[in-house]
Amino acid sequence: MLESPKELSFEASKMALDSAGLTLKDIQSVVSGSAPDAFDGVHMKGEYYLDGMGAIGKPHERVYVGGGTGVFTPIGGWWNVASGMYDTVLCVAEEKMSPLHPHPQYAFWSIFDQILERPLGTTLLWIFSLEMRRYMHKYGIKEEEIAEVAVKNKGNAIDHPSAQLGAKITVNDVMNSEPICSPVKRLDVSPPSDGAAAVVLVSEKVAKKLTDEPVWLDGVGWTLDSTHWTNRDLAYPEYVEKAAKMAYKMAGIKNPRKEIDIAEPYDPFDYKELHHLEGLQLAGKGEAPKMTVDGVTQRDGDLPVCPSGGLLGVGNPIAAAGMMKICELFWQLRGEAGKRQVKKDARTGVAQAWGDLMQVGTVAVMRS
Amino acid sequence: MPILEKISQASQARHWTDSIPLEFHYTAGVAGEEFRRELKRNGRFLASECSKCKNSYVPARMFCPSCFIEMKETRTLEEPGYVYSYTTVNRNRTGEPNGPVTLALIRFEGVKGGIVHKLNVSEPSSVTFGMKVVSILKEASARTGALTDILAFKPA
Repeated sequence: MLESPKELSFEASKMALDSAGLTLKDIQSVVSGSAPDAFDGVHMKGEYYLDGMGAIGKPHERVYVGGGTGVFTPIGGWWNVASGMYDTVLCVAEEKMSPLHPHPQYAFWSIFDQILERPLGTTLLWIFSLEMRRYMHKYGIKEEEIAEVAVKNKGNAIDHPSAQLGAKITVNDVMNSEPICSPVKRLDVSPPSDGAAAVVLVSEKVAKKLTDEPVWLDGVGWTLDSTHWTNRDLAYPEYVEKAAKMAYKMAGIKNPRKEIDIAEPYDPFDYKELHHLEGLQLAGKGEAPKMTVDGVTQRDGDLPVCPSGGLLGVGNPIAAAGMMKICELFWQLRGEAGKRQVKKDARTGVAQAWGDLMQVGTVAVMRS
Repeated sequence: MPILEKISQASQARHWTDSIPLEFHYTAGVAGEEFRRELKRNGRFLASECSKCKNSYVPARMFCPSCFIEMKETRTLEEPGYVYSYTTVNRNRTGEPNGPVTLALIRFEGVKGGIVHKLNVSEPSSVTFGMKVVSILKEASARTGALTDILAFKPA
């Protein structure tokens, strides 16, 4: 909260460089990600924070696809390396939401159609509650089943050193929390947060010099749907399916449910984790709630989901939240996640982020 | 380092306040203007139809996003529409308690897209999926072609 955007970026960037055993001199280019300028309140945020990312005098680009930005940032880094342009790329995602008053939510006001939606006082919670309700209706899902995700993720976050809302809660706590925008209740939603997260991406030849245990970015995918969200089915995120299939194809994954060991889908709302598991082809349509209730997605389950604690538990500094998932897979796939380490021997993971007007899917497959 | 930091409100640290004073004048666009005119003059909703794929879209649009050709055909929609999804809101966009207000995504048979608007019901629990609804409009003389010409939708 005290750190400025530059300082947040610096702290994450330095941690990533230290982890890779590199210094800034070793970095050839920088890719950054951050959501609307309105959060930090600086109307050229990418240019403003770049000192903190070590990007002065280096090729720097900022990528942006709303809430999908965090996973899009390493995808941008992947372009840099895969194109053959650079061997060492620092990828940093930053978000500082606390400057905006009366509430960070206010920034989302201007993403809606200025003629057709804004005159009503639209908020993001409206459209997500319409989506959650449609998802529940189509597949006969109960609010209590969805609440299990909030219980799991906030519980997992207790073991994350950066967590904002780690807590032991029950399904009843979620059910009895304030109804903000039915069926969305207070504990179904992640909080606004400040944060930054970073990774270093390098080419294969550099990776082999740096470590005996590299984590590979083996598949990337991303797609967007229209901002005309009223066209959409709402019960199923097709744009996530398309992004996932693109990433799986690149990674040579034919049966995601069998080949993916661990998943970090985007969970700004508890129902979104379920929605996204289905879009990622890790659960059949309408079947992710049962998988959760059965404990399959717990840290000791067959498919651990959001072992980090997710956005619901760690927090939701938009772009940094997606990158946090990439960082979590890095630690999990190297067996370095400490108390958060999943029980199974995880070798292949998928991270996914989502955002804008419920229209973007960004997906990354990682392997150790 | 942020991991160990205990400050959870910006007001706990020294801070300065400022705003970005900007004002925007938005046009509705070519197709949006036709939609507005039909709403103002005749109190009806205008949809565009693609000559190639035959899909219709509401509100009216200039081009078909699938075929990527201009949509020149328009038609007005027959009410009632129906509730595709709904919610009851208890806080406004600044986070202050406000409401409850029931809102719905209203769709129309055979048309893609829809209109999000207030739903006038005495009990939020009385709303159902597929419920037929009709619009409540301002008097013709008071209409300006804005979305707020629609006061709300109500059960048909």
